Amino acid sequence: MGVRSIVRKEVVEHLGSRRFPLLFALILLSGLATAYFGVQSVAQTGVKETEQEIAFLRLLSGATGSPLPSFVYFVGLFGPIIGIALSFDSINREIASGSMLKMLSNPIRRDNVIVGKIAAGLLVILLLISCATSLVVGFTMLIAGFGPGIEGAFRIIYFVFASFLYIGFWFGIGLLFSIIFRRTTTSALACISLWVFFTIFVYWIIDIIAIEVAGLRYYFPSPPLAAYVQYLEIREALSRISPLTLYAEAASALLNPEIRSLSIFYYYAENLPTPQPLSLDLSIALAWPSFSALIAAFTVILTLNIITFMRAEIRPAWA
Amino acid sequence: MSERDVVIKAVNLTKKYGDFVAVKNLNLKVYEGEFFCLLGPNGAGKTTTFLMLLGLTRPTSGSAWVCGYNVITHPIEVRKRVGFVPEAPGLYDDLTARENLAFTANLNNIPRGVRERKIEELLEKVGLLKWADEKVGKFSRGMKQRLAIADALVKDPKVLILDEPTAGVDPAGSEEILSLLKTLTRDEGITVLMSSHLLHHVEKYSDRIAIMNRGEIVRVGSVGSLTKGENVIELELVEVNEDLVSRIRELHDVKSVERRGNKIVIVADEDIRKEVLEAMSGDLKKVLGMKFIPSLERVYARYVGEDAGGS
Repeated sequence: MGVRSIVRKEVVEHLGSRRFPLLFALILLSGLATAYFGVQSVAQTGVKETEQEIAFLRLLSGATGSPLPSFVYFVGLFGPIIGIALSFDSINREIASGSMLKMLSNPIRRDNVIVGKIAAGLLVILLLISCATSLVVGFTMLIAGFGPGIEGAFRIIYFVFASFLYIGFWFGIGLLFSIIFRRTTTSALACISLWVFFTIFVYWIIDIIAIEVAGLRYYFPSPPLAAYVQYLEIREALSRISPLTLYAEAASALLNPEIRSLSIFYYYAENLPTPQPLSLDLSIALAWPSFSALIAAFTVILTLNIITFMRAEIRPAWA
Repeated sequence: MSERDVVIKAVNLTKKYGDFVAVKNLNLKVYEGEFFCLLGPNGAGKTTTFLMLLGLTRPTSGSAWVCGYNVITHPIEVRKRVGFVPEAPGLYDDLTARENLAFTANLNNIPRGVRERKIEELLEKVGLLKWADEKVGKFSRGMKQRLAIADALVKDPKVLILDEPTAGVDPAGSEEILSLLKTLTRDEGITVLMSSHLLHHVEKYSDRIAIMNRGEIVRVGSVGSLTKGENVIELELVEVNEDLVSRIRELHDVKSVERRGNKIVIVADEDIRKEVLEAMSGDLKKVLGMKFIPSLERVYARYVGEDAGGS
């Protein structure tokens, strides 16, 4: 009963807040714009009837030559902001206002509170991303005049699930910082710093590490192929430390059946016919390493939240 | 009172945060239906004591029982029976008064049918029925405090613990809140344990008081026992004559009488302002003023000393 009451209250608060429509508009408008320009681009080249399903999925994954980045790109960029915005002040604001103490002074266990908050936040994220994706898909179908088949629909559902895990991970980061830091401004700044780090700085650092490990610097300006391949492999492996890379790999593999490898190297014999698009199960198998890494990150961060909250000394700001 | 009537009992309760001792060997008994007040400056350990009694923070050593349940081993049982009002009311501004109470009722597993009726009753009791469907964000501080008390009463508690319930509330609002609490102890037998720094309010409403300083209870007792011999009356006259001083000195309960220029300073066991005026009879025209220095203030200042400024 305790968890259910907290989930209900939290969902009402999230949906009634000013943040929710703003976040929803952010993701929806970027999706609609992507779809519009994608369809314009596809219309110029034309689409055969047999290729409509793949063409439709390309509109979402961004392989259309459109001037705008893809819907996947926008979810990858704005997803962390959505997750963080829903959680960065979730605990410390309640401690500061006294409502946390008041809630805990009722006959509920402390884990009910954190589990309720996590469940409500994830429910809202699922609602937000599935509604936004549905609207974008519907809008794309309307202006393109064709839509995905059954397999394409399942690919979109898997993509929604990957997006949910990715945004859920950032929601967990925000929640964790709201437990650790007493001030909401500090937790917001810490979240944004981490987001900037994993979106921009981590790739610079990885690049430097890869250059140094592969010894590329010593061969400048024309390194041998072996050193360059080593550099690319190291960079690719290390970049998977960022949730953005994991999400981009999983989402691209799921939405684009023409992607046959997530590695930067893709070998095929010259004399063989052009490779066919992958079936759904093969795409899932391809995305699985990144997908499972996302699940692991998501689970670890939520577990950390529960442990940290259970150990935290809940004291009012005035005491 | 018998041992059976004790609803709150703390034995050597201690809480340390690293090297800092927030509460040190606190021993306390609060009896059923009592209006008990903890007085002390900021950082005296009042809130920490409340948190320990609610089972919200674990004591470093010692034990406490509320309504017969150990706060360490049975915190949920304790919280079923204790309503808590934190210093910041802890209400959700985006929810209405009714929704706030409904949330607390849900946390206490109160059935839907009972819940609606109870919420109506409580809102009526605290005088907020008219604003039941207004968002709490629009409420004044006093209204929020009254709603917080209604919120704490949702579970039909045997004990109410209130942390500075009148902080930030205007004098009229404070009177309303305290008289509401007094009614609860008198009519419903609810035990009230609260902290406050409004000495004149505490003196007026409390049955017993404990003065806390630096984590320790330095004095505990009824208002009468604590203030005995601490009532000071300062009488300012046009001129002071020895005959009047002698007459006042002979009054019952007078401990000392001192002449200070055109003033007479009387220290008495009780508040004897009426008797002093009667003793003056024909000299009333000579009175320029009479000042009563609240006795609890003197006791508090003595025990809390230089820390009193922070209260």
